Amino acid sequence: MIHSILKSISEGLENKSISQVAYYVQYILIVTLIMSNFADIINMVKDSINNLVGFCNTLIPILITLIMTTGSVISANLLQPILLFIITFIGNLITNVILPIVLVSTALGIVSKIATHVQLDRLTKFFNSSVVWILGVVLTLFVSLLSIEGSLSSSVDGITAKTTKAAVSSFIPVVGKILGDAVDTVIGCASILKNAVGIVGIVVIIGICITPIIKLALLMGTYYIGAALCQPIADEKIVKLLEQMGDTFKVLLAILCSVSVLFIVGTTLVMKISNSGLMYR
Amino acid sequence: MFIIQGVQMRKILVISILVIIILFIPSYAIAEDELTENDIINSQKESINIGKFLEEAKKYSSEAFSDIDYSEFLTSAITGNIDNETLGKGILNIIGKETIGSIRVIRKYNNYYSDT
Repeated sequence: MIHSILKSISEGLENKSISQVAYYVQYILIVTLIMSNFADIINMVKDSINNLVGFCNTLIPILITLIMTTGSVISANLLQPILLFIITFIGNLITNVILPIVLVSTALGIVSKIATHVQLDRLTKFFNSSVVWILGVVLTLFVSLLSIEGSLSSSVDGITAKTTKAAVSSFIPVVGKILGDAVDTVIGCASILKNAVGIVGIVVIIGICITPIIKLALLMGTYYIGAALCQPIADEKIVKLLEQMGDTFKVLLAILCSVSVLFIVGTTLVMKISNSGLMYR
Repeated sequence: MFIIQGVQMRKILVISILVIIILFIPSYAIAEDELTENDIINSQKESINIGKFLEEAKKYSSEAFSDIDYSEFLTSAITGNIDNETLGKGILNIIGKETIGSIRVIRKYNNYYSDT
């Protein structure tokens, strides 16, 4: 609004170059204000991703130990390297590749709004869509890999445990059946504890992500509303700049939402895989 | 003849002693301290060092869910009675706090520009 008032004043000036300089000064002022906020948001997203990876690196070893306690040794051995690798890979991918792409895309978007002759809108759109595609591919690969490996290993674990229990019950005289039942009780208790720990893990993942997600959603809404309200009075470039920032926050929101969903789905799948092994008993 | 009778008598005596022992020795046992599911779960918790994990959990999510005691939450998850209300309240609190924060930021910038 202030920019539009100043613009109408500067347009009244006879010297065109002065009015143009005044316009660019105002534009840069607005961009500086937006960027100071944007830098905080980028740091917040980075911190959230690092916290998520850090917490999952604490959660996964405990879950894997509990899976081993339930007798799913093959599943545990197969899942631990995959999970730890993918979690660390995703953390590094987002911090070192995806967030810099978003930063470059935002910078290009801002520059293309200033310059009349140099247009880089298509490149910005390409970067934004490539970020979404990379995230989609990583999410699909993670879930499919975990499901396939988990379903195969859980079947083997279930059958092995059932055979062992049958052998113990049959071949050990007198106490064989009692021993088998006692092992079943201990395994059942470990399974309950594992599911409870998994639920706590999911709640903590939600706790880490919820504040940044809400913050980003509100910021995105604020920028879109700002662009919509400014359109009748402000310059077209400013409106497009606000829209561009709204789009950037949308991409950041998508990154954070997809990563949190990925970790929640991963934890749930790990819980489910070892539960399906128990079904064979 | 007399020798055989003496052996038979000895056999009868041994058998009768065995029967008496079997009859009078109690054939059941009473456990002094019954091992329940909770005891097994608690021992598993201690062996895996769940306490440290819960401390980490508290550290990571203290900003969002400061009211949640994760030890109690784990116990309620084991029994299947998760307190969804506290979680919902926590999320609503964050939404309210962030919305108010956004409005304050907009007002602050608005006042700053009005003054300048």
